[in-house]
Amino acid sequence: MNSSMETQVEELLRQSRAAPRGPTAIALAEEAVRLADSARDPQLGMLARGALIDAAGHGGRSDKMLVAFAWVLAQCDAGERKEPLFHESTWLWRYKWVGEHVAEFPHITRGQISALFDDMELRYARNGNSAKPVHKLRCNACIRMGRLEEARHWLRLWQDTPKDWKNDCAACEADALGQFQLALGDFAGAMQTFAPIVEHGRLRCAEVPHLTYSRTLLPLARDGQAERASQYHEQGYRRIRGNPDFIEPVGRHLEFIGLYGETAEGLRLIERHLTWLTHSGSPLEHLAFYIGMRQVLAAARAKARGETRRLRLPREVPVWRQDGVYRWDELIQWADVELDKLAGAFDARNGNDYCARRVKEARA
Amino acid sequence: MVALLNCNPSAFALVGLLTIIHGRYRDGDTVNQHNFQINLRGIIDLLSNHLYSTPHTFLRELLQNGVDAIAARSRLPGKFSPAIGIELIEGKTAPTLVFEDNGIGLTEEEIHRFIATIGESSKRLARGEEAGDFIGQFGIGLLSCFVVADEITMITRSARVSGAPGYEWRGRSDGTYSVREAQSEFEPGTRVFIRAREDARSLFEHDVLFERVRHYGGLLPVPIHAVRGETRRRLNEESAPWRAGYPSRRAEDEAMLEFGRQAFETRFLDWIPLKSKAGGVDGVAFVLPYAASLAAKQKHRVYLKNMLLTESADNLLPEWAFFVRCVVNATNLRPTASRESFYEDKALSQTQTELGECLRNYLMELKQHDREQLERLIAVHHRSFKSLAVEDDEFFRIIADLLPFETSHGTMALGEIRRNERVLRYARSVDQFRQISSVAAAQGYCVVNGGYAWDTELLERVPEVFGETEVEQVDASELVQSFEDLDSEEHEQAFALLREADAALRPYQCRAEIKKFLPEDLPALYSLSAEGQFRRSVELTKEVSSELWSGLMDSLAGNAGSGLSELTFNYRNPLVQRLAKLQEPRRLRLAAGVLYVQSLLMGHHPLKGRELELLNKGLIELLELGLES
Ligand SMILES: Nc1ncnc2c1ncn2[C@@H]1O[C@H](COP(=O)(O)OP(=O)(O)OP(=O)(O)O)[C@@H](O)[C@H]1O
Ligand SMILES: [Mg+2]
Repeated sequence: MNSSMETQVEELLRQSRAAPRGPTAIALAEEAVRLADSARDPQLGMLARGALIDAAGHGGRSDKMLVAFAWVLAQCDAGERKEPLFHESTWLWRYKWVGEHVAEFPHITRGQISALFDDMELRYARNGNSAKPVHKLRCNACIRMGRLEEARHWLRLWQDTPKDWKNDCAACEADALGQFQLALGDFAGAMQTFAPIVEHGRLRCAEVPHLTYSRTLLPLARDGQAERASQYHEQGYRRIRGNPDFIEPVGRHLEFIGLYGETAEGLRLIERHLTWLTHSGSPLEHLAFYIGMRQVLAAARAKARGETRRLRLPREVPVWRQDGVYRWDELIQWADVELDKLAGAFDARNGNDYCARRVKEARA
Repeated sequence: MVALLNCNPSAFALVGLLTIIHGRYRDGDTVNQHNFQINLRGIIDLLSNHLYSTPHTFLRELLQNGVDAIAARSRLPGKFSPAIGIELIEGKTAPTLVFEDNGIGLTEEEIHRFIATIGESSKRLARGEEAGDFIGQFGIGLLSCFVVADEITMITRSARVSGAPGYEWRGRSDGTYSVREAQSEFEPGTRVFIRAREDARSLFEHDVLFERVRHYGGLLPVPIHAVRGETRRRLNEESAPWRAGYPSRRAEDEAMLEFGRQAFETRFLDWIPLKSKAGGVDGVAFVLPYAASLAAKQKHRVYLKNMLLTESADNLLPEWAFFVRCVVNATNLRPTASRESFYEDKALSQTQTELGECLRNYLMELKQHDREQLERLIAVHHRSFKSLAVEDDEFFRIIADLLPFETSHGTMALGEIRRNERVLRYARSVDQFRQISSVAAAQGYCVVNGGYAWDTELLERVPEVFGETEVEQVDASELVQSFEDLDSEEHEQAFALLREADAALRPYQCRAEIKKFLPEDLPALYSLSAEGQFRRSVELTKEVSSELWSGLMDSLAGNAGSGLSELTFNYRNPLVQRLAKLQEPRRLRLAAGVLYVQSLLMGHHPLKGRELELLNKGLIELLELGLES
């Protein structure tokens, strides 16, 4: 192995870690992976993929994380090397990130998803780790797929299984539990679970409360607590606006803004965040964004005097125009096309009409 | 409860816990021997293991109480000269620290209410009351003394009630305490005696103690004296160096940089005065002599109301400002119960903005008055400055031309690139840049690498900010488009090569093209879009994966776009010209396959199994054909 290649890879990884979360950090780690692979150096390949998993997993490209993780597991399974980097226990923590996102791609089947969790549980078990986090992820996946009965089952198992040190931090646990409670219709319980995060600011970590605020917005608004909701909107949006990993929560903020007819702010957010969709996010996260976007556009159309509006949309969107003048109708139609396409693909996979109903609700 | 604190020790949890406990104390009897009615040990363990990061904390807490007591007395009419004193008395068995102030003191009733009741404080504000100048607020600070001692004795006399007697209070770590009238006469104020417990003796050394007190109270205006035998030494002689006056700018620079060196053991490049109204902050920022990164959060030293709060505040500045370390004092920010960091409230975020403003203005001013210094700083800290420029058009406009970028001609300042190029071409990622930089340079094109943090975002903002310069994103296939075309005769001749190459490369999702470009010795250029790159990585991974994961790879590929790649032959290359003349399908296909794989290798694209095979088989067959003819 030539050492200048090694320093190049290390430099790329350093740059990747120094970059803010998002496409740049990911691309730098990917380049490191390519260099390591073309030099046929598995050790560097593992290192670089570790960085890629981190960058992609926290920067909005879970598809890239999945690919890197698959390669890493394959090296561990080959069992040819003894270094800790090549032992699966080194990677089990990151397996959780994979499990968190696997349901977000409609081409990945239900069978594949449950096989993945079985594989994860097996690996956790043979390394002496509790299956608690796996059950939590199963519950999460079922909720993402709108399979709520199954979700209840896994939720119970998750809560009944004792934890060990592979468990998530208390902040993440509370965020997840509240999220599940909301999805399963327990608003009061959810708000109680979220309280130490959003009210007291006592529980926090790298992604909490960032995500948590966005979850509470619509339920609070529906409950008539508009003022509290808009306070949470302000606090939450500030924390997520810089990282393309947060497409889905931005979508939820948009939905909230649309509901209250804050269209000027909503349109500004659309202009700002639409570029994220061209470089990041999973299809399910895009769905959440388009729902919020449609809500804002519909509110804007209802409020507007004219039929058109000047907007700075990124070049990559299909309706893009040089002069930046868009008709409300064409924008909404475009959102509808995307929504139907995504919801159709997910519902076919999920075996229900969960997404279609969500979309219908947003159009109402 | 312990688990809660474990996760994030905060005032809420602790004070909540303490109010529960103290609710029970109310039932305590009123005879001389009283009881906290709780297991103090548990709480003390909690404090020392979860709340306070060092055992020296008790000194900070004693100092803080003394300062508050003096502040309270200053509100009363009548003059007095505030003073705090510390003395270490070597005892027969263990040394005792005596800590004394001439502040407000306590009456008997106040002793019961505030000293003997955990979680009770005389400094708590009534609703709507203006934030006072007190530092204490939680009513737990005194407990920290039990981390180093089993018994605390306090002699105190109130200045509030004239002629009030003095009292002596003894509290023990088992939760019992007693109060009695003091035997001797003394002036209003408070004296606390802390007798070292066996395991804490090493903290009770003159030098250790005095140095710590100086550390915590170095900025306090109240004189603090250390008494040692016959000598009295003032511990906080100098006030904050940034508040002092200097005979000249040069003297000031020297003093400040020396202060920075002592504070952080670093020779800084420069210093910048800081001020914020919102947080009531004043202080200095020191410019680091090495490039730092966003991820490694800088730790700042922060005083609260002139008492040291923490040496590791990391939420004081906006995110982009990772090129400095600071020493500041704050009066309007709210500390957490550990008194080691600040609450993230509105005042803090406003403070961040205002302090960011100070740094930004300093840089803008350098541009006007000391450009050389600015260039020195940019050479080290351009990443930090770029991350500010991304969110701040005006700053970007002013500093842009000095910012360095990597280009196909080497590293250049943006101003130089803008002078040379009418259209600023850039590649979005390091990968795209690598695919094209050497070929672009050979054509004489300048391409900028937008693959490092903030570079693409900045380049894309150039037209908006500057108006005259155009920017254009290029990737390999676009670059190829700009190369010279073949004339129709040449094209006719090369037709067979393209047809056979297409056929040979179709299984690899690659199509062939031919152009004229430099350098001549490069036979072909392979180009691949970002989508294509992703697809390649999926396929490569699939090759090594088990059934489950290879199935997942297929599903992901189904989700990704097609991502065709392109192999562009160079008609200027002698070998390619000979191939164009060859017109022989079998040899052309073999040659195309080998050139394809060779271009992949040159571009550092790891090979898939089938590609490796293509290379091996192709070479052998070509050899055989060569031998036959
Ligand atoms: N040196 C002193 N002079 C006068 N009163 C004092 C002195 N030390 C402590 N006290 C009284 O004892 C109370 C409790 O002190 P303690 O340090 O435990 O809490 P605090 O200073 O109010 O808040 P914090 O927990 O934030 O330090 C104070 O509120 C004050 O009334
Ligand atoms: Mg105190």
